[in-house]
Amino acid sequence: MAINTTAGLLDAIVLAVVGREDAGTYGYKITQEVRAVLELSESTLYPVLRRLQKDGCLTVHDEAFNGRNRRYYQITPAGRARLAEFTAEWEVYTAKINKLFKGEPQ
Amino acid sequence: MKRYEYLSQLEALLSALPEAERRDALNYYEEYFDAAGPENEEATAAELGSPAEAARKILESEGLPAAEPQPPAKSRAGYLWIALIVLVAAALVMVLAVLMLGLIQPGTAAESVSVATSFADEEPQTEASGNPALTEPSTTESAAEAGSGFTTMQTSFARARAQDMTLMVDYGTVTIQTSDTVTEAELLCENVRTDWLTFAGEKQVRVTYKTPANYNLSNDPEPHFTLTVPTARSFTFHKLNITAVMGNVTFAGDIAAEAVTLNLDMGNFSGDTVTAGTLSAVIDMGTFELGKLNGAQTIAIENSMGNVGLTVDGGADEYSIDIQSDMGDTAFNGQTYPGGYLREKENARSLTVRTAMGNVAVTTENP
Repeated sequence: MAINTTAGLLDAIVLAVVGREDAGTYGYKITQEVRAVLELSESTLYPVLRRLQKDGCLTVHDEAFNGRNRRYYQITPAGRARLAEFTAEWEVYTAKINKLFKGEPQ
Repeated sequence: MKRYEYLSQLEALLSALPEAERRDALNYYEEYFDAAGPENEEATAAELGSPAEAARKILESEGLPAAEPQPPAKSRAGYLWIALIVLVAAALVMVLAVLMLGLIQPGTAAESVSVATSFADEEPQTEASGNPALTEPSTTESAAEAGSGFTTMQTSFARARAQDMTLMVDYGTVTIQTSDTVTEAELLCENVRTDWLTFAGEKQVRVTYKTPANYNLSNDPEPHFTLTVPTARSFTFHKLNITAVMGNVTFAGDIAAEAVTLNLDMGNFSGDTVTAGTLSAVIDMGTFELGKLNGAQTIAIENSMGNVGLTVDGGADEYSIDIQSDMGDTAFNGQTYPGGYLREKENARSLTVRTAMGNVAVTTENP
């Protein structure tokens, strides 16, 4: 049975993946790394990256690669803050559910 | 499907987006295909899902309604139909133009004669001492034939200004040629309406010929814009930008520039010899033929409908090469490559030629 990934969770996953690279990373690589963690269509990522960029959680810069342009995404301090906030909520959320599933008292 | 098909369908489906947003989205997916590897084009397109799916997600996130879904089997045939209709329309326009030209009034012949005489009478232009950039362009205009509304005019630009040259022409041919007898850049505009013609730029030259929207051009004689510059020995453009919406672009002789940018909607480009650091050409409908391109570090040619023929200097191993035709033959140094020719190299001169519908033949001077 599939577990639904909410928009907030997906944002956090993308921020975490991009946040791993100090120098930034690019669309195709981000997509592959996110897909290593959860199943999603490859065309889902672009709107997410765009929204995070508009929200100030990611910045972009362009670099030439093999004579072509390649856009790199980097996490911002605001992005790190949002990720930290989500991670904290996630810890609490999953801890409670894990306890429930294991039959432990809340 | 092929990369070009995916991207052009996506572009069409994103037409509701503002230009900048649409560009960004297309660039993202172009880079995606690049990063996945050109040999994996079909697989990448399959993994991305349909362009309609990607477009829907993008439009939804921007708060716009998604476009009507197209039945996939139909869209491929649909594009061929559109191409056919455009071809037929273009053919009709050409036929009308030829018919109209055949009915030119005798008065027009007199106009050309008067231009020839004013040429001979003209004093050689000298640059004002000190500040060539601020010299007003000198112009001679022959009197318009009463009622016809079209003139022929000749303008000179100081060398320093002319080196940064932009010509944007809605209708008419553009010719760049060299001559031993000019010391500045001279622009001859024939069959033009002066109120559609603008000259701008202080340190550069910007010539714009803008025809009004919905104006029926089929009754007008074809304008011709001829720019004559000193020979490559003594004159090199910093930037030569030409946008021609309907008309051929021709380079005669040896043209030298740091960067050449060509944008043709409906017209052919032909050139003898160009020496340029960067050559970028985008053609929607027309052929691209360049006898010889010397010294280029970056070459990028895109043709939606038409053949490309090009010879470059140097040897094949000096370049990082990406030559591709979606629906035509690809030939490199005389050999045919059905799937296109890709040989990427780091730190090499870059040579990219892409056509959707047309043949490509690229040759290097030294195999």
